[in-house]
Amino acid sequence: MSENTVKIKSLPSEKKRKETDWLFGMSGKATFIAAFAAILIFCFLDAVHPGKAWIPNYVKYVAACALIYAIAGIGINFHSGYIGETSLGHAAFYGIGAYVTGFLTTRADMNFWLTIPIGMIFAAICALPVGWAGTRVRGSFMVVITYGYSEILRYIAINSLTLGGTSGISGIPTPTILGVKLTKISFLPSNKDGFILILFFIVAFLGFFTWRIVHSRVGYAFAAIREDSIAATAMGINVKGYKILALILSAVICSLAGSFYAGFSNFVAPDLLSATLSITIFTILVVGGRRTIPGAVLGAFIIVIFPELLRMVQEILHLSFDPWYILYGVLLVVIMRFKPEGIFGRKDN
Amino acid sequence: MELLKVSNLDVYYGNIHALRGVSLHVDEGEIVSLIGANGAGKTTLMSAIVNQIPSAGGEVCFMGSSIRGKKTAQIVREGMTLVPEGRCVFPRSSVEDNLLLGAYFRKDKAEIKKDINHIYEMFPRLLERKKQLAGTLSGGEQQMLAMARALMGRPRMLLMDEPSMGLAPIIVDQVFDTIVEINRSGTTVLLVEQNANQALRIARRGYVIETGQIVLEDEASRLMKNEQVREAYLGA
Repeated sequence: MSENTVKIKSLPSEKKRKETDWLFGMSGKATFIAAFAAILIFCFLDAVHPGKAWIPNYVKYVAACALIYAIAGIGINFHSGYIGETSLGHAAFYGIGAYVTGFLTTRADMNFWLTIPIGMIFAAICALPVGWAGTRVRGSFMVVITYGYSEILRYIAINSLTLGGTSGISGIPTPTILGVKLTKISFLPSNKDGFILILFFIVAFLGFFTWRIVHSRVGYAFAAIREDSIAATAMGINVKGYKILALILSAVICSLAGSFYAGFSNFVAPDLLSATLSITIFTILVVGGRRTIPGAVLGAFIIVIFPELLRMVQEILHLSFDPWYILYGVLLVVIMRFKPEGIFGRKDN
Repeated sequence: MELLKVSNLDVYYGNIHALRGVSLHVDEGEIVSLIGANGAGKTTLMSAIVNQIPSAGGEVCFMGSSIRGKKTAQIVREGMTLVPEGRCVFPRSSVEDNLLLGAYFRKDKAEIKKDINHIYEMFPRLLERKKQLAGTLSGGEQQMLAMARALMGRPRMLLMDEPSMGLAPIIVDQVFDTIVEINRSGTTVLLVEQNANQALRIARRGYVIETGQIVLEDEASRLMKNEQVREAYLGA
């Protein structure tokens, strides 16, 4: 009689769920949002006050990288989080955004901001065949499909002369706002201030957007499909349609991240479509916690900041190897062992 | 009035001819039971009616119009809901959320609320456990929840696939009593069962399916007296 019953360690009705107090009695999520806002204000003041910047350029560079990954993390959350699939190919959509922006700004002199929606539309169209194929398979097959798809795009990029082949596209102009380069929104030259501020706003907006979607009819349909797709169909939910929608949403957001990457680094290469990047994006989500919004952001910061910290260790200790690659693996194993649901994830969800 | 009419339905799994020209009909207000052994094609027939699996030929009519080839989600919206085999509740959602998902395609919030209260009157156990995750319910409670959730869509017709599967005998009795109750409140039921005794006890008419073909069709009471049926399905 109980063989079909899912075993869950603690029942929410038995043990009242209590979120840990992190700071001043606030819940983890509230603390996270407060910290996020505080950092945003600090960055803003840092950008506009005259005189020497408080935050070193290097830190800003790292932060901007992390924020770009955070956008990708929020994106993949729709697919590999809320609808419950697993994708190891989201670099494809990230790369599409980056390449569209890189190609159009250098070859067609198009404005950076215009290339973003074009990249998004292109990513959505490119997501359609994957989404369609994905409705016919489940679980691990979806992993293979997404991986295969990103590999196809990578080889197209490598072999296409218009896309620069293996050397990619360089000389992508830094985006401007009202004629001012994003890197110049500051009183110091070659700063990344403008990028950080805009990326902060985008991450905050996307976080809010995700929250709204998840608490809407669409979000409930995602949850139903994730938990039991057959039962979801029996409830009158268009399972295939929502699965494709989830993939398109995640593709569009990842494309946005890719566009910003292109404008930020002024350079795109086929590496952006590699499996390594796909795995990184997926790892961000799993480490932070699937189906959590702060998790996607925090995961990105962990994945970006840790190698930088460890690089310092390497320099200080004069190591001949980069300890990152070893400790990265250890970190993942430790997190998955002690908090398999991710840093912000909940056990029962 | 004929609510559901299946005629000459053919289903293939690759080369295997799983349903061979199955025909049956269900009138409004009836309970009709379809009994058969493992692998006879009961679940296949249910899945093919709601187009969870494609059919190769034949016709399925619901309320006089063809639904063959329509999307499952659309068929549900038109008033025919399948309670799938093995219960299929949403294990990590609360009981109440499960019920709300049952009313997913409905927009009338006030009526949904009324229906939920009605469901809680009908299934007091679900009220006791409304905040509990559905996956932590007992098998019997999950079956009740699956039926209650299907009712939230206000279906004209319920297809029930093996509601007694894996349940203790006393719970099975409760489940069948509930089916009768659901039927009395105006929902037509097509029931697929291995537990032929119970299924025929509550049904008005019955069909016997063997290796993808309907071999017998009669009033349930007469089927229960039929020598063949008694020997093969009722353990007499």
